[in-house]
Amino acid sequence: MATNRVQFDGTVDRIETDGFGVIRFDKPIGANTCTIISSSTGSVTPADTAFVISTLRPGIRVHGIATTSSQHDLPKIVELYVSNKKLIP
Amino acid sequence: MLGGWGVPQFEINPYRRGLLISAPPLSKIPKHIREFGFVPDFRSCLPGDLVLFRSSTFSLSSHFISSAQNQFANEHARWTHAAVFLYDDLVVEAVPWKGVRTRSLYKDIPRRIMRVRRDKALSSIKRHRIALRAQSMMGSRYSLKAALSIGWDSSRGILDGFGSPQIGRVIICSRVFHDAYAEIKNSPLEGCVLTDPITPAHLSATAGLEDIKIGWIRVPA
Repeated sequence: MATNRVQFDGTVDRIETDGFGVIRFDKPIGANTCTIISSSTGSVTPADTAFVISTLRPGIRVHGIATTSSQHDLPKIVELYVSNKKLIP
Repeated sequence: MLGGWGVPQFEINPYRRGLLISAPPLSKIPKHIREFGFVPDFRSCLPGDLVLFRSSTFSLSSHFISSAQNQFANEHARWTHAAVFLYDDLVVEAVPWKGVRTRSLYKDIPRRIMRVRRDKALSSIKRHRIALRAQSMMGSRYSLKAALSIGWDSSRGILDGFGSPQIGRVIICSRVFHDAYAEIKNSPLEGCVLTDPITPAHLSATAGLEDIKIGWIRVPA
């Protein structure tokens, strides 16, 4: 299945101390209005993201690039910026 | 009103056990269950299964939680707690004060009615990963502060005037399952949105999970 790269703008909705977070998109990507960033699994983002997540707080505006392979799977964030500061990769 | 009657729910009800099943005896049964005389055969559960709970008797806190989930049909709103099955009789759950912890399901018998739900489309590996992911949250999430915060937010938001720390409690217990599920499956459950509060009623009503029938075994005293 083809993978699409999509630019997004969004807001950090939730950050948990164990390296789990949710980013809410300004505009839906496929059927998804949000996605997960996680330092514990490689299923959504690059695995080495613990430092990135620890710097994020709910309410922070972010933008970047996500890849998506289907309408329903959560988009995978491959590039993440906060105010032009690149956090991922 | 979300959800509704139609699909039968397979409850683990201490007082409506149905036909007992014949199964090999269980090795470690607590004294209070031996005195009760019956135990659910949790060997039918798999790691990563969702376990829903409700009280077998009336309690004020359960009443408040059910009332706060009143956008759902009663058959879903009546479920007031959620946990993730690990193995044997152990589950991982989130509770105020202690955050995420593990405990035995035997402690719920015969006080609570349970229900086991599963995404049968998931591979065994992914189900195990959900269980491990939920367990990895232990001690790190969902403190009383978080519960109070969610309860306060919810009382001003989607839930009704019964919003209270109790509501925070049920949202955080449901999040343990749903966060782990969504992260491992890379997709939220049908009818659930990651950015919205998830309650036991959501997990009861979702069509993404199917009930698993758990039989009862007679336990010699």
